[in-house]
Amino acid sequence: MACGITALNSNGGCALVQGGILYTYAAKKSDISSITFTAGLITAMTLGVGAGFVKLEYDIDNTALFEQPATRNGNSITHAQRAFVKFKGLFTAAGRSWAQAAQECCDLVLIHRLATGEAVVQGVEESSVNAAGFTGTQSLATRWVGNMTTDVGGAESRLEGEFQGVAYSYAPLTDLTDTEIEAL
Amino acid sequence: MAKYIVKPAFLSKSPNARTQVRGVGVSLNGQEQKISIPGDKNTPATEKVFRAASQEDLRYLYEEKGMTREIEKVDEPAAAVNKKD
Repeated sequence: MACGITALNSNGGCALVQGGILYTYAAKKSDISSITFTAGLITAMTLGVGAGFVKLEYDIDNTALFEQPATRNGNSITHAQRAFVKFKGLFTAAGRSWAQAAQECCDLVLIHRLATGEAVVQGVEESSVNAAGFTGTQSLATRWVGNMTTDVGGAESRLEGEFQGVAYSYAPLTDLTDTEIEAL
Repeated sequence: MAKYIVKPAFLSKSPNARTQVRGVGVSLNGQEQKISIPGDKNTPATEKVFRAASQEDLRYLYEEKGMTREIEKVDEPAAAVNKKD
């Protein structure tokens, strides 16, 4: 994208500013055949293999978030994408099985639904040279990095962790609805 | 009249490509596809069905969703004109 700096104003109202992510759809990057970007917004996806996106429903307790702070090294700017999620009580065999399998995925794509209704796609970058129209996060692939903790008496045992990757661009948003994502 | 086709080059790379049209799964290889979703102790196994994309589906994906990488619009030759005097 070419350089551009235009007027921007967030003082038009105070509606829909809620933070946090509510739930996430996840798939292996290798299951996605192509992604269509329209002015930077993801408007369509095709899948070639796999069972489609699965829904991750984690705790809604003001802990789940997605962020992508940038770091500058000379003229290179990268965004460390990070989504933190927590599953209370899943210090179980099923939780361990899920976490181990997720950890062994080399490159993941996550669609996080924000409390505002927007959806942001972690783990992909637009590409004009790749025939599929996208790549994974180019600086560091997106993977599950988790923890299973008993914590202490009076606290919660849980499975928690982050989806982490490093991109050269901001994570794109998508106009796909939940119904459309689940139909893929 | 224009016709919409899935690009052969795209299908050769992704022979089982599928997408969705307004929340309904569609197959781009001309054939219906069925995907089995395994169940677990909490969720029964299910199956997702992707019907073969229609011309209207392909038009929607090309014209309204911008899927020009996967789909192309081709002009069908005009019907033969009867030049009988």
